Amino acid sequence: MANTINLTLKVWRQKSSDSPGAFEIYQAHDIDTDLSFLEMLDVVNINLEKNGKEPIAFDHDCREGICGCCGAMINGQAHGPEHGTTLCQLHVRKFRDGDTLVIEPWRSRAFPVVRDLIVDRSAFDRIIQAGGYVTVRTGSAPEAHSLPVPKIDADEAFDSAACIGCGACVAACPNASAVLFVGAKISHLALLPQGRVERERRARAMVERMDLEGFGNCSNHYECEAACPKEISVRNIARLNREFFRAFVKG
Amino acid sequence: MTLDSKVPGGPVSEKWTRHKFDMKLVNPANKRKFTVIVVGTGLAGASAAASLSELGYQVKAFCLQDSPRRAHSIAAQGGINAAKNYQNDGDSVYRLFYDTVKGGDYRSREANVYRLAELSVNIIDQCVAQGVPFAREYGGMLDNRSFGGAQVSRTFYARGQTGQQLLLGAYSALCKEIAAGGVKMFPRREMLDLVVVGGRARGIVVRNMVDGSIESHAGDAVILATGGYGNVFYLSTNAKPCNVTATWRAARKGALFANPCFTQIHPTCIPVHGDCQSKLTLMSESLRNDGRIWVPNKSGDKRPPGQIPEQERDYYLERKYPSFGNLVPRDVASRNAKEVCDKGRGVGSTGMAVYLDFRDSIQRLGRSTIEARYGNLFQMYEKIVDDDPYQVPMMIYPAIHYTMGGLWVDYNLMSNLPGLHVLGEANFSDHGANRLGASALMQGLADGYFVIPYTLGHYFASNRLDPVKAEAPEFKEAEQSARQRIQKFLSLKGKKTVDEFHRDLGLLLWDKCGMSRNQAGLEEALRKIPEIREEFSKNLVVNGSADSLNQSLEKAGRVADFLEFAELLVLDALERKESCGGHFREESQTEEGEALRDDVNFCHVSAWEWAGEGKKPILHKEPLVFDEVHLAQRSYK
Amino acid sequence: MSSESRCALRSSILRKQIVAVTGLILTGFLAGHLAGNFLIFLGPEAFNGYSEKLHAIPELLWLVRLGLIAAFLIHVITTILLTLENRQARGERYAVNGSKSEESLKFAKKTMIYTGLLVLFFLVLHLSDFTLSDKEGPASMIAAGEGNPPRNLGLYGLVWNSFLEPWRAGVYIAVMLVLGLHLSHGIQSLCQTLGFYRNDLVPGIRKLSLVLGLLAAIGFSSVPLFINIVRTPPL
Ligand SMILES: Cc1cc2nc3c(=O)[nH]c(=O)nc-3n(C[C@H](O)[C@H](O)[C@H](O)COP(=O)(O)OP(=O)(O)OC[C@H]3O[C@@H](n4cnc5c(N)ncnc54)[C@H](O)[C@@H]3O)c2cc1C
Ligand code: HEM
Ligand code: HEM
Ligand code: SF4
Ligand code: F3S
Ligand code: FES
Repeated sequence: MANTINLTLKVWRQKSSDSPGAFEIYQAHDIDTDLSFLEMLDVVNINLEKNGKEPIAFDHDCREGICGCCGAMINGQAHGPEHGTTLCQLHVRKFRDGDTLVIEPWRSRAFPVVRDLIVDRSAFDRIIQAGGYVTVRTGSAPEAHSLPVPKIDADEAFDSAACIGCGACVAACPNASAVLFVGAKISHLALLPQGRVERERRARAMVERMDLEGFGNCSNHYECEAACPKEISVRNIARLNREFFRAFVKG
Repeated sequence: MTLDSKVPGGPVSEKWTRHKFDMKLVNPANKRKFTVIVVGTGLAGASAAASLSELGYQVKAFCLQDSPRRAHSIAAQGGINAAKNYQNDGDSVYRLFYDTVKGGDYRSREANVYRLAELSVNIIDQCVAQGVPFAREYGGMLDNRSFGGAQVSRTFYARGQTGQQLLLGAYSALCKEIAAGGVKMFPRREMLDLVVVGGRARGIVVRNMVDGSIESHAGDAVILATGGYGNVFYLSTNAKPCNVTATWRAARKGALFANPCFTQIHPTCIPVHGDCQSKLTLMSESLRNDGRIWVPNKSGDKRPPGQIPEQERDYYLERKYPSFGNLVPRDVASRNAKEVCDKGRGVGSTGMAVYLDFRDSIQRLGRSTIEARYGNLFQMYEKIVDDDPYQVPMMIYPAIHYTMGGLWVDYNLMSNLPGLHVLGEANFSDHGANRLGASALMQGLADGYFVIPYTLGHYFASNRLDPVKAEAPEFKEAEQSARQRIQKFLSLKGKKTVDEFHRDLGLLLWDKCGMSRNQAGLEEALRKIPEIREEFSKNLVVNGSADSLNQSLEKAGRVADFLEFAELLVLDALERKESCGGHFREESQTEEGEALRDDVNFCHVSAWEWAGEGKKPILHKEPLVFDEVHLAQRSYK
Repeated sequence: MSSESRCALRSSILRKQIVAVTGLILTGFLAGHLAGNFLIFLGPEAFNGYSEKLHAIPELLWLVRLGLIAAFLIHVITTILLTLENRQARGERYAVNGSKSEESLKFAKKTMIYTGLLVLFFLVLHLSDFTLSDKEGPASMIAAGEGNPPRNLGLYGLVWNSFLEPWRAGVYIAVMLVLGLHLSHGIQSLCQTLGFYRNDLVPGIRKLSLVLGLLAAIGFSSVPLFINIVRTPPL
């Protein structure tokens, strides 16, 4: 039957953005190794709830690795130790019996903690609002086949568009920089003919917003790529740099 | 009450065009005087909010998640249908329409479905223009695949992440409008009640999920695009916060709830593995193209699959449906899996699974071909189950996936409550008793981009709306009752958590009102649901406070609504004594054990009216008329 | 300057690109400097001749020097500012610092500001050692071989004598290793910053950067090392 293990969890607890936080220690006993990491937290939470305590708050939605809601640092690693995986798709079997896990929220000045492991990532939305779109009205689109797109470009655009906006790149970056996220969106649209019309305006506006939000600068540490559950490549950052430079030169 | 579907006259293919012309328009200068409340930012809500804002309306949009980009639509994998006929394989608007009505087992409204098929082509144009990176061929043209057993290739896709890419497209349009000031976005808000003033839907009451404050928002119309209620079964492929709260609260305010028993079960999901599981994961249906489904002949055979010799295996779908084999439709495949498992022949630790075996196709085609076709799915399976499907057969089991039922709407997507419009999975309209693969995304976007921008204008132009403020007594009342409910949950201090209640309810429903249903079981469920509800109202524990982020409290509200709604779902299943689509009544089957429709007595939409606490809901029927499509019995033998 | 471009100058990416361009200029200077240094192996005439040629047109020399000083200043000021900003961007620190990256250059990346600053301090020593020292004075006198009278070998002699002191040779070699580290990350980093993303070339560039950093360290170190091993100039 199922294997079970015991874990010690050191979890960041913080009531709200303006109250101080601290670590608390919980024992997770007899955890079925087939559980996902979030299901393990569910189990811990049921116990907390039954003992009159408030459960650990964490963001989650799809539990399938696609919505980008979930995420936390496990022993300093964004989304835990497994590569290309969101926290909800990480399984307890990746840990050993007796392990101690330090669980912290994403840390970034631009992502204030909302509660416990939940942070406010609305800065990402504001960056997209600054220009992460093609300006086309509903109903004004031309016939889809009027503009062929080379398969290579479409595939590469997809690779960039696969970003789920989870924020792990910011969390893992030593500088809390958001360039991987921004680069992914810039690349997605710059690779498609539909997106090229507004490329300069877009690059300028999105970078300006990114800076305003208080993210750090990229110094090419490549930790973001390693932490990204969708394995978005840092080449997207290079493309962002080029797109931005292009926009700067074009004035 | 008579249900007026407001389907326009004329031939089915001209109805929408004529209707668009007949509808009244709002003067451009007047549009900004109207405030539209859009609840939900999935495909339906985001596309509606963006399009309405482009027209000049003031839009207030609400969602549960921290960002509109995370709505449940993001999880859709397979693709979106459109009658573009790019493949030249005989597709047409008419064929898509026909397939959808037939696939829905003749329980949907013809005119709506035709419009859906008609608009499908515009959706693809719109999405491509937004920069949705659909799969392409080497020539640069869009690629298509066939999906869900369709005979034509009309499904557009973006790898296995079509829903994500479509939603990001709609989200980007929404962001554009937020930046332009036309949409005001309210994330992390949960709609707790609909506010009706003077017989019209005029606003909502929401809880700010971060600081717990209860807010009122008034407007000239309310659009609900809050998705499906599959989570009433607890375990489903739906995202965790999917709920019935928004639609149920509207139902309690007078909106009719239609066909709640029409729920869809997807045959290929990763089976349940223990008591603590929170969610089921869908594996693409395409796996059935090359995988063979089997169980051991003997019940209780616990040998590892490799040790079960060929002659002791039962490839039951191939045996029973020689012409369709493993490719029978979703409902048939699901029901048969349940049947063998109920006979004790299921596999895996729980006995609630069947094998999906790739051994033969790996032998025939080679591992590399299989890897090219399903590599990412195999990887996902291995990540979750920790078994290598190249070596050991996969285990699968059906799971709740989609809900065809929803709030009743007319052709204009307005419910019987004037001003309340319902889009996407939240309404009941286009899929009848069974939804075809790749058509929910299509419906959400058709509703949001191309239907509501016209029909809402018509509503505004043809009605005189008095100004309403959020300070009106109706709002205060709704706020008050929302607060009371919350205080009730917090004050109970019982012993059982919300999730435990939710699981109890889910198990009961799955058992009695899941893949197959019978009178005795349904009646039993109708007895037991109030018992669970009763215990819930006494023994629930929710800690923490109302004025902070409190996830247990959020869940408590949702589960409380599920507990009320479940009863309606079961009641509907009990009243519909025929089998159709996803609704299989054991009493109504052919001699071969297939679903048997009863068109004489049940060719209608069942729309239920809330009659008050403890009273039996009132059934209204909208007869379904088929002018274009011939009613016929489905057969897959 | 238009208000728009002034805004761009405050932009994270543009400033980063300024670091990259100045880094590139400095790297270019180092390449030339290294080539010049290698002339030491050819003897005093070659080396001193090279130096004299450099000093022949003072206007040009100063022009280049000004460019270099500007590049240095801009590079240093911008990187210090960026580093400070980056620290603030984190906000509250992590209790545990981990990494998922399998990159080999992690140490070099994390220490850019320190390796850079060390090079800066080194430069003070370095300029006072050679550029600001008397190239015709006693420090340039070398007795080549047994019994030969000491000769004034100009800059060559100055360099040779300086490195005969093991501590100085040691300091130089240590700093050269540090510089190599700075470059091993810096060179590929500047390609990334300037927007070079060709899929087929990027892995190569990363390796090249490592190799070039190492070569720079070895190349520069070879002079003090050689002098310390040989001790008497091969005249
Ligand atoms: C795993 C999976 C795969 C699927 N694959 C496909 C496919 O390949 N093709 C296809 O056509 N269909 C597919 N479907 C179905 C399809 O994804 C959904 O039917 C569709 O996306 C629903 O869209 P929607 O806009 O109606 O609602 P949703 O996307 O569910 O959005 C609901 C919105 O309402 C908000 N909301 C809900 N309740 C409240 C409340 N009380 N207060 C405030 N806001 C609220 C949510 O925050 C969210 O923004 C799939 C479904 C699943 C589960
Ligand atoms: C000869 C001397 C130097 C050379 C050749 C050099 C070269 C480089 C190069 C090529 C880069 C990479 C630029 C990029 O990624 O865009 C870089 C970055 C850097 N340099 Fe230097 N540098 C030198 C001196 C210095 C000094 C004196 C400092 C001291 C402050 C310094 C600090 C930095 C820092 C902190 C970075 C990283 C900046 C970032 O990525 O954000 N460097 N250097
Ligand atoms: C072992 C390694 C090195 C040796 C032997 C060496 C040697 C010299 C010598 C002999 C000079 C004087 C040249 C002249 O006046 O004509 C000089 C100048 C200089 N060196 Fe170096 N150097 C070394 C490393 C470095 C490094 C690593 C740097 C940069 C970080 C550097 C920067 C300079 C500068 C800026 C000058 C002044 C150039 C001028 O006069 O404008 N050197 N070096
Ligand atoms: S780039 Fe990767 S890590 Fe960053 S937000 Fe997108 S998916 Fe998450
Ligand atoms: S880790 Fe950070 S420094 Fe740049 S390459 Fe990634 S954003
Ligand atoms: S919960 Fe959606 S990605 Fe983890």
